[in-house]
Amino acid sequence: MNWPITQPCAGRGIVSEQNNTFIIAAFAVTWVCVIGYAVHLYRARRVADARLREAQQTFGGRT
Amino acid sequence: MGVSVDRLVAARVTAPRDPTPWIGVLGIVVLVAAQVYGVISSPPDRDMGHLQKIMYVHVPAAWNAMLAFLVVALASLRYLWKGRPADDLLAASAAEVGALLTGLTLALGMIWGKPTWGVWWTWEPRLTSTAVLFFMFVAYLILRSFVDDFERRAQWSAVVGLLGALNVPIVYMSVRWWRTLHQLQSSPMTLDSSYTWPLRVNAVAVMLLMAFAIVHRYRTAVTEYTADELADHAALRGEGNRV
Repeated sequence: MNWPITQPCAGRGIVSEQNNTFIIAAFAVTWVCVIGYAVHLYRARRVADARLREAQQTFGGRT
Repeated sequence: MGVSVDRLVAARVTAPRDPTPWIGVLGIVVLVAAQVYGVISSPPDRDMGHLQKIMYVHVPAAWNAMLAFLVVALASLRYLWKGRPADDLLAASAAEVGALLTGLTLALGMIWGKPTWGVWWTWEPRLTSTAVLFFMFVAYLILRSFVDDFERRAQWSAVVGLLGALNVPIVYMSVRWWRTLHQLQSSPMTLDSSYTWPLRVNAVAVMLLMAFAIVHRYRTAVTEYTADELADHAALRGEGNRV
């Protein structure tokens, strides 16, 4: 049963245009997630680099 | 910990070169272009109308989450086999990104489900198995934050990571094994041709961002590990307190 489940149509489809809110919400959630995680990664890297620098200054090391 | 300073320095040194500037920027640019291409080029679906466009964010997130858990499984297996700290750190990095993508998949699925099915959530097999997958990897990350001993944490994480990854084929096949509400897997056989290329391009864009995130997180984890090891070795020599 591999018929095309999603198929284009000439009109707007059965579901009405007022569902634009859901479409916009989906893309917005995606970008919030992408940007939020990028900020988290950036901050985590900064904290880790600072910890390593402090460890190297305090204890020495060849990194 | 039983890991020599030479090994930790080697782990730090052998971390992949920082891909931050170009993979991340490329991923963002490709994602923007792919989403614009998908929204503009694809016609409304027969049943869902323009809601079909949510597919371009929901499905790539789901596919790439599965890919991230494949990385977790391979790195966990390799850790259990060879005991290299780098493999544990890679598995943890991929698990974090995979959990994020699974959470995003669930959120986007709920946003898509409400106007098409009439409910935000239902306990049907695909949704339930995806929720189980999500919570397994949340548990994986919580476990890591609770165990201080590196080797014990790495071994337990590897086992939990492998058990979690075993759920991935169940999630993937759930729509065929138990035909209920969720549609079949998106593929050229189940999609009209006008939707396949936008979906592929969006999947590649998310894959680029996922690769960037995993490598970036891995490098951060190696840096944290190296700082911890330096402090631990200094503490063993009686030089001072842990940083």
